[in-house]
Amino acid sequence: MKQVALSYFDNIELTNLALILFLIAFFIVVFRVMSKENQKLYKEMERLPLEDEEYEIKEDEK
Amino acid sequence: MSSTIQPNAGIMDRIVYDDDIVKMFLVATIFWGAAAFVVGLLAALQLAFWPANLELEWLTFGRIRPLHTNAAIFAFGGNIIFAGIYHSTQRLLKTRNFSDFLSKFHFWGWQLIIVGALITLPLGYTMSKEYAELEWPIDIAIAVVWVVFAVNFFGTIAVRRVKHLYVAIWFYIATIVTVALLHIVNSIEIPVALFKSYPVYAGVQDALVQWWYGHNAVAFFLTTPFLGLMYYYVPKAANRPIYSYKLSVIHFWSLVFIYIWAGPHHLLNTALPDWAQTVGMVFSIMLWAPSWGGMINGLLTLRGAWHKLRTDPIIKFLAVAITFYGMSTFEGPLLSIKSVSSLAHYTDWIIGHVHGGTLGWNGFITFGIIYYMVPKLWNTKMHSERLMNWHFWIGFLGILLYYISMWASGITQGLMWQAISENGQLVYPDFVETVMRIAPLYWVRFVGGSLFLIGFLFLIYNVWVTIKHAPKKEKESYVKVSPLKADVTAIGSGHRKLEALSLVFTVILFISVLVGSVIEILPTLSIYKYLPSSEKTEPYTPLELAGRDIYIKEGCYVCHSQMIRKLPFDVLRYGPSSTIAESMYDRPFQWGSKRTGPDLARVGGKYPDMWHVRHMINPREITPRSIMPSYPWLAAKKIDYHILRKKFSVMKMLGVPYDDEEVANADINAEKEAARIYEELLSQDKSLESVKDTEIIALISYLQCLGKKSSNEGVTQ
Repeated sequence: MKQVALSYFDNIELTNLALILFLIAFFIVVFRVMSKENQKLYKEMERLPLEDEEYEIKEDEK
Repeated sequence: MSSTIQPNAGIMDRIVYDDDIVKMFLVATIFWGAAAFVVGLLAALQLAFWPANLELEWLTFGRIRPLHTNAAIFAFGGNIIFAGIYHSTQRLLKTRNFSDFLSKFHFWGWQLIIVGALITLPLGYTMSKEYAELEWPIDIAIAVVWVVFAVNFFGTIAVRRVKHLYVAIWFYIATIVTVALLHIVNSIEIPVALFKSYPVYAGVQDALVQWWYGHNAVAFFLTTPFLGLMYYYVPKAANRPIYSYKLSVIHFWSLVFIYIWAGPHHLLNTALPDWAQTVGMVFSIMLWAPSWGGMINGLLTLRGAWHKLRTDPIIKFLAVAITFYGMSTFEGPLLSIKSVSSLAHYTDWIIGHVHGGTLGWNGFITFGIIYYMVPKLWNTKMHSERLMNWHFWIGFLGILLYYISMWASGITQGLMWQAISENGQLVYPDFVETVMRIAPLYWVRFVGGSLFLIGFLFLIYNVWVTIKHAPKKEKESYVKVSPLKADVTAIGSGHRKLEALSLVFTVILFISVLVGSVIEILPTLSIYKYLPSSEKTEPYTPLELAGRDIYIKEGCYVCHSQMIRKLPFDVLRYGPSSTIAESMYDRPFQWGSKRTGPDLARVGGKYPDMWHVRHMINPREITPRSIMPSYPWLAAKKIDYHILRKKFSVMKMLGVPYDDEEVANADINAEKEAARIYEELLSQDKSLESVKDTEIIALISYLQCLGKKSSNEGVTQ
């Protein structure tokens, strides 16, 4: 089965490259997300959808 | 909402949002939603009750089904995405949309595309690539409108008054960038006529590119934008922040990195090289984690507000939608396991899975958002909360009936196809027997779909009365924001820096989806080099090609696959498993994704020509319990011989080994071939005089060549 699978495929280094890129990217994301400096920012960020208070335009303001 | 604060007090600027465009997209969502559901219901009825095909060529299942999927995904889904994006982005970025003109262009362009689909698909103008059926002029229009949308959206980001981009915006950016990439790459085609073209990819390449597109249409059209909407509207409706912002960031990056790889799970056990199948399967299983991370994040946002689930219909819709998202994304990886796929693929299980996602997740989150937005946009209250609750329960019951009936149907039929007796023979060799067993479930599905539609009618009525009774004088509102200049002076050359950051973000995202795409697709583009030289495949003759295009036009691929999988029960039923070489000249590929009828990969020579004539005109004459539509017009409409030279020259340009003489004489050769088939039919039945030069002759010529084109059939498995 494996021979058949790979008989059409001569770019094994591509998958290795993909795996390495993938892992590096994942660890960068996790590291950044967990790093202390971002915690305050995330607290602000999660409030964003809730902070969009709108004010009515009064007739005399137009 | 009103306040006594003076608008120009201090250094505050005031911004008035463009909500007209949101209203337009919202109304379009409801309008096209109704159309998509009605067409879907007709298609469901046609499977339960074949006379519902009405013997009208533009209403047969093969043409109605693509219309339903396109309307549901791009008209209903598309319009709510745009409504939600324009509504939430302005509020999250505290700025008006970049350009009112571009917004309007986007709206009318998109509606025009939908109308184009509504006209061309029933007429049989189709690429036959699922969810990418539209022909080249409409493909170009989609690309143009999408670019306009992108310019408007990124323009809005550029003029934003908020430093950071909330995670919902990330999901919108992923949608815009990736859908553009998918659509353009999958739609590279060479026109033959105004509404006919051939893709540049052939056979296995076309299959892989198509399902890379097809799966990511689900990922980046029905998942990422709706997740973006979830991250905005669930906190709004529950009035509390998202459960974990950290989780949302990991959710986002894991999803965009992994999703792009999952396409080959639509091609498990087929002739697609095993390594690609395995990659698709592994990445699909990996998707479990980020998908459930997102689901948990959405559901736990309701922490401390679970009582609202009892009292607030909007929360009901949103919570059930997220739950269906969880169910679908649990079931999807499960179905991507090769052994599970061998049972489920080509059956109604997949149809049930898809509708769990679309009706449950996309449908219910859309209804929740509509009920949230309408009172806000029209400055009023929903007309009836009771109707909202009725909509919820009737719709929910409808989805359950749909989902469960399709599970039962799919698993039943899958097991019947697999059943092999002790002496090594198929227990149910007659395909129609397996159809008859599940036919009652098609009625259950029809009832489920009807309930879903009835619930939606409640929404239409409720929204209509709400808008009708809304205050005639519309409320105008503004938000207070820091002026742009103040922002820039505060952080040096700050604003430009911010724009640059969103650009960096977009580039990283683009690279991440490109990496997966290139690594997966690239090796397959050179695959024909590696085929054994002993295996030769003959290209189609002119008449066969004409017949093939009729096969595509009638949407035969919707119910018939042309791919015998490397599975014992498939081989027993249909013959040696299909090889890569056999479809190497197939533009577009016709491997199919559903077997409502039997596989046709080796149907050539199985029945005499006369069998096909009678079967096409009235399938019940041959197979009394068949649910296939009748195609009487095939024996009346004439073959278009003239276009064959053009078709051959395009095929030659694409690398099919036709010589100049074959191209120049394509029409004459086709006529000769048709005359031979016709005379043979006439010698058997004198009443068939009228079928001379009709489409049925070309179609027979094509069907009779299936499985006969390769010199080495089945040996390379």
